[in-house]
Amino acid sequence: MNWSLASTTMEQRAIKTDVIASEDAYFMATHVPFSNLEVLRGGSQLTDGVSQHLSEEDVYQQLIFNPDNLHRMIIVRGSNGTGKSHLIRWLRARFENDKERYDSSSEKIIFLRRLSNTIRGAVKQILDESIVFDPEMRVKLEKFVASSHSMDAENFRLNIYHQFIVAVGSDANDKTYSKGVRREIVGFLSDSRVEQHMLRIGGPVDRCFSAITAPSDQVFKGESTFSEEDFKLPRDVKRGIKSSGSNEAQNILDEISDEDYVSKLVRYLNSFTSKVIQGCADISSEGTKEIFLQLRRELKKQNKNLTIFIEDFTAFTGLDAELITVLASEHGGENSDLCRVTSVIGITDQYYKQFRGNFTDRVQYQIFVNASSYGSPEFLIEMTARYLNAIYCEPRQIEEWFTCGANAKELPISNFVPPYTWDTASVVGKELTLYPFNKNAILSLYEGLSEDGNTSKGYEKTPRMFLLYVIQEQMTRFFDGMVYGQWNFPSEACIACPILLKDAGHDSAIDGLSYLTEADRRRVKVLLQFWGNGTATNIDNTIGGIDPKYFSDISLGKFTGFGGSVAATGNDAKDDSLAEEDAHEIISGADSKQKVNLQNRISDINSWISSGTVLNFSADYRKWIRDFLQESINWQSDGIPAYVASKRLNDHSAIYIECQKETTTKEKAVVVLDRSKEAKDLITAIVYRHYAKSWGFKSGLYFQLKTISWLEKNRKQIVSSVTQHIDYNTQHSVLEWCVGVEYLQAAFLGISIPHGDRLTTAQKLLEYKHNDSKKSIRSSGNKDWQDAIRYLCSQEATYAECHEIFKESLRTFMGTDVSDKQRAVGFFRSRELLDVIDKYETQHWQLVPVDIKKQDIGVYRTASYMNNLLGKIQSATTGEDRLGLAVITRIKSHLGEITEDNIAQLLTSISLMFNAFNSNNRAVPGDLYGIFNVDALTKAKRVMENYSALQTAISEPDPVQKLTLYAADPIANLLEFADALDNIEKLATTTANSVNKEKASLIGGKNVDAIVRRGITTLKHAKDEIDRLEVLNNVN
Amino acid sequence: MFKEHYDHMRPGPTPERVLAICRLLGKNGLTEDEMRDQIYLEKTTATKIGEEFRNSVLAAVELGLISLKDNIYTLSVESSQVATIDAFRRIVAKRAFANKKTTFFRVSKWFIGSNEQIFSSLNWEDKAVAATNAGIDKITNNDMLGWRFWASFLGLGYIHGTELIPNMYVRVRDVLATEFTKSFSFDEEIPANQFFTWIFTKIPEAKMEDGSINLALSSAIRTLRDMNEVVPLALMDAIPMYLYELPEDSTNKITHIIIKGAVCG
Repeated sequence: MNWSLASTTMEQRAIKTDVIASEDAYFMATHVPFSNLEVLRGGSQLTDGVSQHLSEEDVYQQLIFNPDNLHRMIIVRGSNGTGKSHLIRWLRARFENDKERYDSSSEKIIFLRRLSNTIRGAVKQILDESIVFDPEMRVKLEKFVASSHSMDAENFRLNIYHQFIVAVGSDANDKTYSKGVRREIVGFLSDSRVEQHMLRIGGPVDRCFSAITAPSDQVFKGESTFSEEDFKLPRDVKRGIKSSGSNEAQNILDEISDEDYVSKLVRYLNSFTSKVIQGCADISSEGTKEIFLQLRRELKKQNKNLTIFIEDFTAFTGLDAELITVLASEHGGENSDLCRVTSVIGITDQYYKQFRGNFTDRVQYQIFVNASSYGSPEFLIEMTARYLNAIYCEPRQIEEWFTCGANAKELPISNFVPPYTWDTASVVGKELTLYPFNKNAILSLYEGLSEDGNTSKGYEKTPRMFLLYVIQEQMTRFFDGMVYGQWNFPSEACIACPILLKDAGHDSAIDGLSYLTEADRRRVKVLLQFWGNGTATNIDNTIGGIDPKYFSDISLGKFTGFGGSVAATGNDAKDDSLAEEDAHEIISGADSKQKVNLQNRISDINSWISSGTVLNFSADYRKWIRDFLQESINWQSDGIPAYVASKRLNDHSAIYIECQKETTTKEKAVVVLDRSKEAKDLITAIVYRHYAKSWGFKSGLYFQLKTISWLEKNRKQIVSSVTQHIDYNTQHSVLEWCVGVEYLQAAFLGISIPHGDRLTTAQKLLEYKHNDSKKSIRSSGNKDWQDAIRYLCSQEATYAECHEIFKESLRTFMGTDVSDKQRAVGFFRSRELLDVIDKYETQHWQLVPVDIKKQDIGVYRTASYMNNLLGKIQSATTGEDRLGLAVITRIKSHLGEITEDNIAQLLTSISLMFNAFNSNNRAVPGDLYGIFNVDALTKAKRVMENYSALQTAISEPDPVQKLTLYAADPIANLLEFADALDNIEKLATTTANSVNKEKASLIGGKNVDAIVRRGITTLKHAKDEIDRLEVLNNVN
Repeated sequence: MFKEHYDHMRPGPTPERVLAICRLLGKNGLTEDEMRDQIYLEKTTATKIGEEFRNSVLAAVELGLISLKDNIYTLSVESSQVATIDAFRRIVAKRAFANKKTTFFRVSKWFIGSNEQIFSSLNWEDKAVAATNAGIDKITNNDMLGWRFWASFLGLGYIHGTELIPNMYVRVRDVLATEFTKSFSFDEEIPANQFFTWIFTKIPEAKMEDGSINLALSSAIRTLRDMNEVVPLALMDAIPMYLYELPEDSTNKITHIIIKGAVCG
């Protein structure tokens, strides 16, 4: 096969950018008969009326062939690219070649083709068909064609713009705008700044200019001259108009901030497009009509009728209304000077809707070219086969066939066939190869086109789009490979749907093939997805249903597919038809809603990995991955309490996926999944498994392997992240933090934790430190201590959580569902707790703050709380030291050196004083009496014990130990003692003063009783004793 | 749990609990009452003492991890063998799979031999029925619930929902890390048939009657490969061994295998 020649034939003959411009011979060789055309009588837009379905031959026989000379206006409707032109062109050829029915002496056939989709092209056609009889008009049109071609582009554009201003200025219709507003619009458009803006490249004038002169594959519609965008003026233009524009321009400027106003203005200006074009051609509306009227009159004189075929009416913008008027005029009656006309006019649905006022009552038949006419598999396969055949045939063969009458049955067939069995299509009783396509590829690539052209690869499902963006696109790449060895076939450029094999396992496995380049892996996938059966299964001498030799043909011979059979699954394991099932059958058994949900998620993942989009369903993926981790890692067996794992994994931030939808902190995550193939495989696996409710889905074995390998690769990191413990074979620190919290909490609350017997200590630590305990919290003049207590009281919930973690992380569970209280039994991993207690006992409970990074997550709150308690201890105990020293100073102020003897001696004196009080009927306050009315030695010992404990506490360097010492509250007892001494002193002083006064009043009195005198003497002694003690103190 | 003949595999005595019992005896022997007092530490609330304690003690005795003499239970293995999870798992595996007549061994072998057919049984009850139908005593749902903890712990697979994903990575790795160098050397090519013959002596529950390499063992080899701990080779003109076929995977035929020292890491 001469691929180079075939490539040239395709480009220069068989498929041209403007398909309509292709040669007649190739047109006939590639034309696929329309077998199902919907035909409706009348011009109503509705398509739900009574219609009949005809083949193209029927249409020809019943509508085009017109022996009764009935006036007929037939429009051929359909979207762009559906084949209207093909049908019209074929009808024309059919009529012209109908030797039995067509007589050129009585019938004039005019065929107005769509040349370059320009108005100039349309006018040139009119001239070329020699239908302009008025010499003056002919000159004008020739001038228009020539001028638009050669005139200085700048002047032509300026002319177009000024024609619009003139059209508005001369509009006498008040229906849309009043005269005043029209004047303002003229003033606005005449503003030099606005003019410059409208004349910009890509602006409305440029669009109109291009439509007249520049070849394009897009049909120009007059309605698209101006757009709303054109009235979004740049800031400097607006500023200029505001500062120096005319009043009219300023008024319009104010209005165009309103979107509705702009829409109306755009519609209004666009309605002048035809007039503007005529103005540019310097022909009037009447003049345009006259061209066609003259034609009909002339033919009538020649006793001829007219059949006119117009491929695309939309190319006649500017002349369209006049053309319709003339063609719609029925011959006979007052138009007896006109010949009969059968007009066949191609028009898009959109244009027809906009132009319907001119058509509705004038059209006799509408023919609809829609998906039912061309969308059948047979049509698409035959169309492809015909084009490929035309490309593979030598041009000489096609030309000779055409010259000899283009008899369909004698269509030349290329002798090229691939050296192995390949799909063919049966056309006019002959087998045409579909190579390098196959039937599957043709149909699925057609399906791969966008339904409405609204996607980024917006190629609609029409024959033209299929031809240009599937057959031509793929064949161009194919020829590049065959001729130059540059393989980029098959191409995914025109495919709007995701490239994803229905066998997700194979899809993933291809991604991992290092012996293929990334581009080749994509080619393989496109091939298997569109040419093959969606798998890469190497079975029965095919790879995914495609002959391996074909892979070699297109330089993918290295790829040999996978295995001899697809991994079977669950109940379907023995089902041989499994490989043929739809992709959704990966989760056979699920309902359709579930399948849609699955498909949406697979598309989501695919888009995430290939296009970098945000994961729309990341909340699901993160939850399902978390569940998997919780269950598949044998946490308890790894030495991690199930409760700890559950707590950590249930944190919102535990799983982080790059470009997830939710906002969580990456740094707090246990698992971070970057956008990678590995992550894609994991998420895909988890998604399939979720919907299949089992790992027995199709390709499940492959995904199990991928998932477990991922798990094992990341296991240590995950476990370490959950526990923040590098060596997971040793005890996890959470227990140490919990014991620390319990110990500190108890210390603050003054609850004694026994030391010595580890079991007792453990049991005491496990007791909840009830709120009631707070009642026993001693009050202290130490502000820091009070702050600490207040903090403790405010953290009730935190402590409760810590206590729960403490207990639950020690408890053994069955499984991982720690929320299932039924499974919670009091079976503890006691040795671990006893070991922690051992450790702390050995270090005398010298707790130190823990260096943790993730303070707010799960079990780390335990460490965080312990750290906070330790911080409070530091300040509280410092305050206690201050308070303790102050108490000592106070006691020393009464006692001098604090010794047991001094205390006993003082207590004895106080006792004597109390006796003196008693004997003199003087009252001693009850509380003081209670404090000091004890055995002096016992009291002295007790005071000394507290004093010694306080001294130990003050001198203890470790804050935790200090807290424990202060928790026994030595200060409180000493404080009571100091207060009592102060009160004794006060009592003695007061009494002494009182006695002195009484003494003064009694001395010299006549009735001085001997008993009173004795009492005074005793009190005097008591006072002397007190004075002596004070002197003693001062000395000390 | 690990007895011969008809034996209930209750879920209560989990590996975690048996280890807790063993560790409790790590320092000194205890009577059953003393053990109970130390295991059920909470004294302030009503303590629920269930059969899990008694059954855990029994399981530990059946595995030969502890023994009873004069009413005192003592640890029968080195304390180092219960000091770490890895050590505990390895000693338990050795003992749990030593006797081919135990219900535990037979159910394990049935599970491994089921390959992907295991996914036909969507829950543990179905699996129990399937195991019973395969001729292994009368297996109940509760038996399967008990078995799964030990099967997963000993490295036969990974629990996810009501399934155990068959992949003996942990089990094979344990054997390679502890036994391999007694017969071979790391980083040397070993003929695949020799390797598998050897490994079946160490992992008897994985040996199939038809000589095939089952899914769980095949997946283990592939995961070891993915972990870069073994290198499977397919050399020309050598006797091939075939893993359980996974068409999407590159390793289906093996003629030689290299075990790397990394397997001990």
